[in-house]
Amino acid sequence: MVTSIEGRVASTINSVATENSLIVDRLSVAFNSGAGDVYAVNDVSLRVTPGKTLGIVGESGSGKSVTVRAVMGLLGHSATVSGSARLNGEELIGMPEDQLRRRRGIKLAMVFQDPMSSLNPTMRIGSQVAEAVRHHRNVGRKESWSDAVELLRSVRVPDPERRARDYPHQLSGGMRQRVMIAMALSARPSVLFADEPTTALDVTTQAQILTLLDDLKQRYGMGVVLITHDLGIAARHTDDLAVMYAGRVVESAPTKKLIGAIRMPYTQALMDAIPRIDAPSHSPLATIEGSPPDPSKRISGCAFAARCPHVGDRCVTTPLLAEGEPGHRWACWYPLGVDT
Amino acid sequence: MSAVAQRLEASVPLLELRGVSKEFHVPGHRTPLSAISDVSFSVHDGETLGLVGESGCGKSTTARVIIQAPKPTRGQVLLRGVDLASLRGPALRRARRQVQMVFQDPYSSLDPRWKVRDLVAEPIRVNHIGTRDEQLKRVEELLHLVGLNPKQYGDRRPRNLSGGQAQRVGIARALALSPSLVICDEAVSSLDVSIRAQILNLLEDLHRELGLTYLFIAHDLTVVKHVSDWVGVMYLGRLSEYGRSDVIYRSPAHPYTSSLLAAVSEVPGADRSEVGEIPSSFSPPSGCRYRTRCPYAQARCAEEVPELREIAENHRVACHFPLIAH
Repeated sequence: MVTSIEGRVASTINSVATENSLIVDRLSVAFNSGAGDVYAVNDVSLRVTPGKTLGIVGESGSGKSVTVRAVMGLLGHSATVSGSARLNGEELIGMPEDQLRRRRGIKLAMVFQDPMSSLNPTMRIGSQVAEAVRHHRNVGRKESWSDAVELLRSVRVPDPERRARDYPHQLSGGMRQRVMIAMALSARPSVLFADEPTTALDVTTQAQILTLLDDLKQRYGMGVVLITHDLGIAARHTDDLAVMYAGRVVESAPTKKLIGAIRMPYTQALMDAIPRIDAPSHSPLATIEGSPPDPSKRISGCAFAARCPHVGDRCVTTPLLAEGEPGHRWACWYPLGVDT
Repeated sequence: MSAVAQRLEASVPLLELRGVSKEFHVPGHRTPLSAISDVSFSVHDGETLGLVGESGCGKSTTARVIIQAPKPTRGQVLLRGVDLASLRGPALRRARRQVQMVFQDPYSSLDPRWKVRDLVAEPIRVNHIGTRDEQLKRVEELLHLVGLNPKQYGDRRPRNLSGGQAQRVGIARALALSPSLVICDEAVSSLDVSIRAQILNLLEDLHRELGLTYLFIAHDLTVVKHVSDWVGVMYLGRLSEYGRSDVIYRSPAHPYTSSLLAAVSEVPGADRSEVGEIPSSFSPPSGCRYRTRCPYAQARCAEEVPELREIAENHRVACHFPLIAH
């Protein structure tokens, strides 16, 4: 709560400058497990701008999903969240559950990897979308149904009047994911989180869903956060990128800039591990040796040092994420292509 | 083995499918579901055939009818020239041992209560191979082969393994009976990019070291390109294109293959037009099954089923109007 006049003024200025932006500042998450604390997210700062897609890229366990769940307030009581996440200048971390639940519906929405497990198998999809509409707007059944049909049309479900009467099992994986996106859009959210939304889908459907998200963010001016382990997908479908490793952002920049000049060896390793369609058959893939560090142990120094081909003397000290070039930040003592 | 017998062995494919179809009767449906229709291909020793297509195209059903679980409705599956349907009892068991599978989700295919050591030993024990000491030695050997230190991982249970480690255990199990053919059914699809690269490299190493032959099933064309000598593209239960991997990726002849390649293309703005949904396998379109999504479809495509015909050496396509004529 901001009480001082200066505080209020600062807050107003802040909110004008950041309308509908989501600004995550030094967010940390620790889980209290029986065997001690697990540090899942450390000092993560991100910015989601309306009409743009931020990609968060990293391996399983890098903290990318925990970060967005912390922002959404979806972590249980075993999680200790510190730092800040402001939407439209309003602080979300520490907000009481009932208020947060309202924000979650209206301002923040989320689409998960497996649409089948998020849909009710016994309800027609039109009814499920209509229910989401009624949750946010005070309208009757008839109106919410026609809104649902329009939402299904906007996510390009073909013949939405008829398909609205289908049950989830009658739809393909790609169509179910479209239904999930329609439900997420029902409240016109400021930010849509998509957590590996295409990992369970076929390549053709993947491309369609990602293109749909591209179109929707522009049409509705909403910010999209795309969480993926595939740097190739992120490179094609995001405007900004943040690469996470062991709970920290290790490189971030506008996507074009980052892909054009990768500085952090971990990002490069992620890139090299992607099979290339133009590579000859049976050519070996570059791999990242070893595995990510155990999050229950505090690491001194760079967390990637043990697996890094460019490790040097300075890596025993933790490198901070710092702007090395305008708009391009990395956390590395020996960045690629830069004389140090 | 005489020189003649050796040459004969080399010319007989390790695996051959001849006009294989599988239909399922589903409660509530009058017509049977045609999962695969008239699929024919062969795989030679030491080569990898990649089978690609979207979900529901019949690639996993193809894998299952090869191991005769279930048996095909029509057609023949031949292992080294012997029809598997003609085998009974011990002969069938011996033949089945030659073909092993690696599945998509390593956790659900491993019993969570068992230790890694016992999971890998199970196929050997079930088949009563060797003494107990020999079995233990073989398990250690297999774990080393897939890059797991037996001392470190032998006594772990699946929940204490990462996805990549669990898949290594799945591969060790598949290798336990020294098969000739390993069917990888979406074996790397649920793995992270970095882990996927490790497992793909492992499969390639095993291919070289043990002379393994793979049938590699995946929806990701890039991954398939990486491991395959031959590629078969399936659509709605039929093989739509088949040939040498380099030929297919360089010059796809079937519009479906071309659209799949466009979907993974690095080129921004490549043709990613919305091509609609796969029709139902209960009532596939008449003629060419792809015609409802094909931008080049003409009247003939609705009337006549295109045969899989050779348009060039090592390149067959089932299309009336192939994109290239060579």
